[in-house]
Amino acid sequence: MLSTFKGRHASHDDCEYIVSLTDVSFSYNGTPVLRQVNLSVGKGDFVVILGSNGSAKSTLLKVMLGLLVPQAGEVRIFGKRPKEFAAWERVGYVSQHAANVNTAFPATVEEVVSSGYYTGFGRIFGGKRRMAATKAALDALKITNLSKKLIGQLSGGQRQKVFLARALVRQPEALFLDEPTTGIDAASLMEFYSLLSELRRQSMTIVMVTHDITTAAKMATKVVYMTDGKATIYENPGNFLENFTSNIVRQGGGTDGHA
Amino acid sequence: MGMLSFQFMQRAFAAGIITALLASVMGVFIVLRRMSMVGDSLSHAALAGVAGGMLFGIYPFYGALIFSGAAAVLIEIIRAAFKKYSEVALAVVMSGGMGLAVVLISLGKSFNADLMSYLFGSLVAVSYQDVEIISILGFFIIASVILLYRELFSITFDEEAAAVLGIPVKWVNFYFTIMTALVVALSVRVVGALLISALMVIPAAVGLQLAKSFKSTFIIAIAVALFSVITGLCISFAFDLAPGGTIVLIASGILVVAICLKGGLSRWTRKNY
Repeated sequence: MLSTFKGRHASHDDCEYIVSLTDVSFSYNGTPVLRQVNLSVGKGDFVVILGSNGSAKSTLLKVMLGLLVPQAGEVRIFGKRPKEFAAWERVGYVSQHAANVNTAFPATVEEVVSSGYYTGFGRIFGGKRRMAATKAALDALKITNLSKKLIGQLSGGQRQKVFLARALVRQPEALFLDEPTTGIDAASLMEFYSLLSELRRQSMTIVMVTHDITTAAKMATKVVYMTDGKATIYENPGNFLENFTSNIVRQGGGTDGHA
Repeated sequence: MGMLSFQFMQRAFAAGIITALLASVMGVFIVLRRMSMVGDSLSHAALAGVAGGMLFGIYPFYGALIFSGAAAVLIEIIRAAFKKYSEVALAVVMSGGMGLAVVLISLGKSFNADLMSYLFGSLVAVSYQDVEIISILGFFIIASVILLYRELFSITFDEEAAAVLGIPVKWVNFYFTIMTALVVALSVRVVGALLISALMVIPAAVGLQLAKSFKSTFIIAIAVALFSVITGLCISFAFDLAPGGTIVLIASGILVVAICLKGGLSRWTRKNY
């Protein structure tokens, strides 16, 4: 179904990792929220970032994307510093915004999805390619029938698909999702996970912040568990689930994990 | 259209139509960014510029452009210091601008008809030079909005996602702020400093009420602004009224009709609180 998203950028084999963080520390107004985080996201990985509310999961994701600049440590996106990185079409992002979007914003589904097809300053022409890409993304997510609706008229699940379509419209290699399952019903949730599986089959790299421990951890190739600004990384997600209960009780890192 | 045989009316119409176009287009972005009051703040600074110009013998319109631009930069700086309370910046610049305007006016003892024309707009005061400035800057602003349409849409809708698309959000925002300041200063001539904000906000509000898409919001806002300015200028000519007030009253009337059309009235009466 999502065949259109198959590795368009297969030729870019210029770096080992999609994203890598080395000893990254970040603080908000002097309060440390990330402490010496080391993390790498390889090609084809499905990294799930878990942790309680306020455990800096979203902060971690934003640091990975260069939206927040850490006070210490190094961030690399496709081998480049975020400031020097220019190939943003290789990255798709669904911000938390999807869950609390301004429902009075007067934009149609089509307008929102096509806004993701950004190809640089002043590119007001090239409408045909944009329209084709938009149509493909709408089709892939089966929301073509909604294209003329205002986003305020959609359900939570439908809206989430719109944001996914916007993130996929440039056919990225890596998808970053910030709590994409907030505010959507059970049926949409199942549909969402089957969609992720489909993208995974097409070797899409996915980094997802979520509260949904069981499903996400089962699908993941790597689990990052955030506590007190420290990231505990489980290369084997199965171990994470086993250790999860005791982790919570002891409020610390897992026995199998390495910080 | 006998009134168009007067040269000053030709100038007023030319300036008014360009102003309507600029104010309504920028207004849609401004309202959606929840910055409806920014026009008010900037226009008070523009007024200080007018007063300063009169005091120091600079063409007041240039004074308005410079002060409005400086105020816009100041707003951005204060906003960066009060991230969660962006209204603080607007309030500070608005009262600061007004304070400065009052002091400059009293220094220059320039509370006269010329100043009144900048406060409430004027038909006869629009000079050929004014039309020239409005046309040239107006052309650049409209061209900028067309070129930056995709960037502005993305940033207005979802700033973080816009950054990940590769849009230089900070620069586009800065440029947008400067454009807003220029539009406010340009509008001073026809609508007057005290009423500019309304010409930016009301057409956009009508657009929001009736829109079926982002593009149609613009089309509706532009249509409302053009209609209000053209009929407003005609009526103010016929009855010798201040054009700014007439224009804003017409736009407000259209907004009331739009809200009623959307069933706003029945929604309001159904609420118990």
